[in-house]
Amino acid sequence: MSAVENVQAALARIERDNARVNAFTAVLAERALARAAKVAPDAPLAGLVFAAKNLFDIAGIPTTAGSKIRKSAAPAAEDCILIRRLEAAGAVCVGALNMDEFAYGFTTENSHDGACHNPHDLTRIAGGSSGGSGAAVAAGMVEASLGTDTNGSIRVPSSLNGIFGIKPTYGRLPRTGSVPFVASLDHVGPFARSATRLAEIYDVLQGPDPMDSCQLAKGVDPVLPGLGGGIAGLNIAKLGGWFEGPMTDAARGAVASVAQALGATATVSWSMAEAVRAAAFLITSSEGGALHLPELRTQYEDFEPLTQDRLLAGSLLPAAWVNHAQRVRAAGRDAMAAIQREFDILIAPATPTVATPIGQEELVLDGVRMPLRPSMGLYTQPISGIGLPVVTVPIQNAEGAMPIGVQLIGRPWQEDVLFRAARVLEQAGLCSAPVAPAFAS
Amino acid sequence: MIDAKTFDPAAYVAAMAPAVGLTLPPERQARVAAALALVVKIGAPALEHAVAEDVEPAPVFDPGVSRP
Repeated sequence: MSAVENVQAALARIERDNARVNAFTAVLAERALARAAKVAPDAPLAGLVFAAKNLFDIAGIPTTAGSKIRKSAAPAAEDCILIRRLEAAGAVCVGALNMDEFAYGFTTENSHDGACHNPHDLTRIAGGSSGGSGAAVAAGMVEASLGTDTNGSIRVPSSLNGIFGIKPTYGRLPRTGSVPFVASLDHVGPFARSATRLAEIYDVLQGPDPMDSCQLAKGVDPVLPGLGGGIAGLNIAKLGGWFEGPMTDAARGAVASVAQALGATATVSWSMAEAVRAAAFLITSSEGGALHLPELRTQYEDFEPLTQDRLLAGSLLPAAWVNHAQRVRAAGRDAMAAIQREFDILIAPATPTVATPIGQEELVLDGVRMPLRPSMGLYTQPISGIGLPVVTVPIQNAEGAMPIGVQLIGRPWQEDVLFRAARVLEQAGLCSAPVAPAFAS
Repeated sequence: MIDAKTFDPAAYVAAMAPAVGLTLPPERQARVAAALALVVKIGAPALEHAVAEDVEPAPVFDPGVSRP
């Protein structure tokens, strides 16, 4: 199919299915068809149809970041750098996607744009904060999407929607042209329905950007050429301790299946996991609150009801706590480096449970009652807290019809190893991401 | 770094909110104090974790990068 035909098919699916999923907040048919008409047939991503979380700048529409406050903002003057790179490679952006307001949440129960629904069960959450990015791909409305991950916002939707996603090493991909949340922790990355497609997209997204003062990767490390390299010679272990905490049998079983398929028999414990998760929580609270303090002073009631009080509280945190949290994070990185000298890949659950019903407030796991929304990040937050790369791989039908994801965690800057392992799991038939059955026609 | 048993979120919010320009009615103050209490509960393992003097904060400031 040509790029134009791909875009027409995607627009038809969006027209048919989005009302049920509520993944899109803007559909850009005219723009997409015009750009598709100019795609060179031999471009690396020719005809790939994607969409972007609505905190990425898309020329001509306001970058709302899921908020009411920014709905009246001036339209973005140009596309963000990641969209520019994808479209330069022949992909076509068809719209903007639903999210938790200002990326502060794990459920995409957005009161301004409406909740995003999980394509595997429309009564359940799509995860967040990149919920629309996960749901649009799982429902087959687009082949890929862009999201962001501060504490788990790529990995949680990957898990709950049953698709592949990569949160690269902190500082790998440029964030230019996206609305920030927590500069110390913000990552950007793609979602897709196969490891190979994810690798193709990820390679196109790489490259230095002088406009991003937080980008640390000065070169490009393509993963596609070595994708079929297998896992022979790699040392792989399960993460124990904190990562064996409260979770459902589905999460526990998914980790066990992936560990077995990758030949991981050892279990290692990172003693600072809880402290780093706590540090990430404090840094998030403070930086998020401080970023929005000007609007909080005058219009906090225009913020998402789920986050108003959290942002206000965060804006008040003592500086000494936040500074200490940044040092705890550094100590946690050093402790993990000692573990990673021996192991190439560490395996951990992505979420403690499959997707939960929209509106649910609490989780009870292994007899422990906990608030649902922060707990979705129990096992992702410590890892992004020290910036390690993670490919999330999906297991379908983990609990009834619901999927769940597993984190493959690598050494800094070694995303290539994670892609190789994901491809092995895919070839073994354990991990796959077909369009959700209700949307598969 | 913190004694969770003696930290009083309500008193803290009442004192700090005006200092950063937030005018919060009493009901809102109580809700923000509850949110702060949750932050303290989840953040406590970091605040209670001692770090060596030579462990530097994580963010890197690059003096060679500037935006127009």
